[in-house]
Amino acid sequence: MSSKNQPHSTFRPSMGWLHTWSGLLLGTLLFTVFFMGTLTVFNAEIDRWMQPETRFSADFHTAFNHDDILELVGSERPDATFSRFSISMPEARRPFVVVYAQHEDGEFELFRLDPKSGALLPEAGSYGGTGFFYQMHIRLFMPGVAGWWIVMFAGLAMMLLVITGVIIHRKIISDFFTFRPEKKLRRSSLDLHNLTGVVFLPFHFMIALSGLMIFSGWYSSIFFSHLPGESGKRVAELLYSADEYGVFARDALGEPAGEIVPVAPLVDQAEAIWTARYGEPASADYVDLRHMADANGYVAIRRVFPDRRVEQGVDKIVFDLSSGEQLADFQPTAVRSAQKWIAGLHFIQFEHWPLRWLYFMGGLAGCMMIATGFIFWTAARRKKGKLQPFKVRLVECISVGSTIGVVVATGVFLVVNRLLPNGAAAFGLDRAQLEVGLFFLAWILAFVHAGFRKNASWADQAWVLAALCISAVLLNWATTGDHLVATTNGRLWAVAGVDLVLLTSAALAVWSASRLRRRGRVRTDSRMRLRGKPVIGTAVE
Amino acid sequence: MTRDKFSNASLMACRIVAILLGGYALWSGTVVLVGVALSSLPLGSGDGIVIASFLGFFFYLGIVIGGFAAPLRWRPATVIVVLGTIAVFLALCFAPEGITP
Repeated sequence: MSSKNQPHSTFRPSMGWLHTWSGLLLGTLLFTVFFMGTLTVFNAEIDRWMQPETRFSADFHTAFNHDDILELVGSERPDATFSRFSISMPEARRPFVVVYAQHEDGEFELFRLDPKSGALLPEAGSYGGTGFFYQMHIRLFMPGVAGWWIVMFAGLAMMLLVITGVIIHRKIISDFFTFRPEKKLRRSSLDLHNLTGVVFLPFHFMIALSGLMIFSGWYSSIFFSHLPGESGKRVAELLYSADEYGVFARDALGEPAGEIVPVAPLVDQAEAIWTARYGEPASADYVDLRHMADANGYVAIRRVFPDRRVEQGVDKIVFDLSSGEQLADFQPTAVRSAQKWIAGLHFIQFEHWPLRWLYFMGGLAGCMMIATGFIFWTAARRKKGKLQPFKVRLVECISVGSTIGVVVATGVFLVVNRLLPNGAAAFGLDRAQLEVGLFFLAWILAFVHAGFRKNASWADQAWVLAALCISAVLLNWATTGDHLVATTNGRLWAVAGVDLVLLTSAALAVWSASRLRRRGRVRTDSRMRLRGKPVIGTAVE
Repeated sequence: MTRDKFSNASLMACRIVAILLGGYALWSGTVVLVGVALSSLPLGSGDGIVIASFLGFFFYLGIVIGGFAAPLRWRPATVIVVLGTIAVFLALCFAPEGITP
């Protein structure tokens, strides 16, 4: 092995090598997962921005119970036979009823109901924050298990990078207080990389570990399920069943159901059991009816996020749909509670707005850490003249496309959401698919642009981002009438918040672009002076 | 790329893959074995596997860091692959009877 590529023989330099190369090779993936996760912190608010028909007032309390909702959905589709219904009642961040109904052929249909009138909301025509950003975060919007696997790998890589980053930094305390923006790019980007890494170190470690903990048993079970022979599959099943504690499954009997019992009293009964058990008022937030047309039908009543606390709930009571008999009652053990608490740290469904904003800031700091890592690597190699110009250019192109390119594509996604008319379709894609298609097209173009414009592409894309953010706010106003004054007066904080974040992003993008342009001009001037040519333009720094 | 460089790069890639995949086998096998051991304790249903899975992440990170801490010679990669194979074999032998579902 040539000495140039050989990892060092002592511990700290070896960790430096591991940190650099895993960061460089996985930076694109990590940035995407981190950025999409950061947006997912406000997924419900982005949903309401992207789906204006859901912009109800803050009062989400509904007069309908679960039986009324079943009847309302049934009256919308009188000829359909459904085998499954899952009902989520309105809550503060999502003030409307959500029903997923499964037809007998297995197809799912989404119904969203007005919490006051019970009227069916029109088709969303957009995946929104939950349907796209969240899906990008957890599985890169890929079908099958491949996306889950890649994101799991990213989570492990993130933990590895955090640990090796701590090992290689000798002066972790001084890193906390060091940022020299006036220095050369190589120095200032490393300062910012260290600063964001050190200040948000506990957050980065917690968010990577809690993300991995959500499917902790699944990773090992997948390994065994792919081994040849029956033993491996048996071990995988055992691991999976241990991981999926609280899963109740009963096959359909194949006999038609008679009259099913009313669901609302069963929900009241489950809530009474939990209230007596925990000594405080408890309410169900998710009701799942299975095999509705079959004699073996049952309903599972859950507290997924009890009272909007951190912990993800395991509480689940199952009743027979024909007789109303209680079939199962899952309660969390101490170990489960600990695991679900850690998972709950990642899901962020708790009711605590300052903490939610801190998560958002932590996510952005993670994005900045990854982006500055890229920038430092390129700047350092260019300075040392270690790499051929083509290789530096390639990494720079990847850096731009992987970081600001994703952000620009997100801006395109939001602008397209406000530009496309309802019911739009083209190339065999419906409106929601067109939004996603244009996101990926914009992302690819960001890479191509970076390839052509080299170093100038940072500033170019920052200008584009600023324009997109401002356009999104103006288009939201033009298409819905919800400008900032109206949304704040109407207490539509979700919409106002998204608009404000977009405007702040635009301001930051303009500031960054003008700074980058000045730096670029100064560098050009310096080169011209060295070559003895006349200087055009003003040197600012 | 010269022939030597190509040969070195492919050898290094093989070692890295051996550490990552061998480590994954060792991680999975050990999670099952620790889960089996913990299932003999008076814990709740499936709790042993949850604890073992939690510890498993740190174990895997330890394997990767340990594997890369030494210069990329064959020895650490080989040790990890051999231990991983043994752990998976033992897990297949003991797990079906040992884990409390």
